[in-house]
Amino acid sequence: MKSKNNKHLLIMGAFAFIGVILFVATVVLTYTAFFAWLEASGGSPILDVWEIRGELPPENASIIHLTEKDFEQHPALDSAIRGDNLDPGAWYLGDTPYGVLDKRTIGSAPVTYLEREVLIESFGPDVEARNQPYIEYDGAYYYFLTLIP
Amino acid sequence: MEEDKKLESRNRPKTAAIIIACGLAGIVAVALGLMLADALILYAMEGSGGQPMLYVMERAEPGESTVVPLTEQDFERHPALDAVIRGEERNPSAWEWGYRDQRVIGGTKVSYRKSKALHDAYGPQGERGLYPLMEYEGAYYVVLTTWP
Repeated sequence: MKSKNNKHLLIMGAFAFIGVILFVATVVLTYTAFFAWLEASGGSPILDVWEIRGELPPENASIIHLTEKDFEQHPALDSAIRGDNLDPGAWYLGDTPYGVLDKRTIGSAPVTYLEREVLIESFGPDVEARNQPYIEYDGAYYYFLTLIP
Repeated sequence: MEEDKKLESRNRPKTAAIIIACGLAGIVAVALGLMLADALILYAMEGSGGQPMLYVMERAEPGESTVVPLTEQDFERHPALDAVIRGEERNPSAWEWGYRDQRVIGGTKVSYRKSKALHDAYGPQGERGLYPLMEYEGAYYVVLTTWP
């Protein structure tokens, strides 16, 4: 009788041991796999914003006036134009989507691929007509590009 | 000899029961482990300081995607979705920017937990990982969640 009880206890102990091992292994594996995947997919696109100046904008130009709601909904754009990632460079004459103009870098911020898509759909070029809108905020004009790593 | 055989045949169901119990214990342990890992990952992400966002894109045509109607229950369960599609976070862009067959309807900040719930409910599905199109009042929407 006693040996039968011992046998039962032994079996229960074995179950509990296997269960605990599997439980811990699953937690550790899933956790490390997730963060390893995050690190491996580290190269995120970069949003680069430029300011342009001159006789802007020309007649019939498409202008998007940025609102507080836009900044709220696009934190990367906010941080590049007026936030932590604002880091204006020197003015120089260079190529822009609107021709050769005086321009300077204003700021850049990392974005996810989905954010990049959302920014392009909201303020990016008209892909079919190859027409880039002017982005206006506080009297200054901007355009942006997103660089894929 | 015959007794040995009898004993063996009597032990067979016992062995099968032990194997089944072991299997079940394993499945339960793995399931519990996955749940705990999920909770730990969410906890770690919440503490990372990043800001997940919810965006809703409107598509002009449903194409070949699966169309699922959005119900009042969806809006009740996900107030952020309600705010973006028909509330104060609605801020549609013009159709002509980007690809003309879609536009951004709006976006809002959400917690990692809510972002995950939205991703599970409306994110890519099936082997091909296609986003289902959510239909509401004749318009087709794609629900996007971003994790920084």
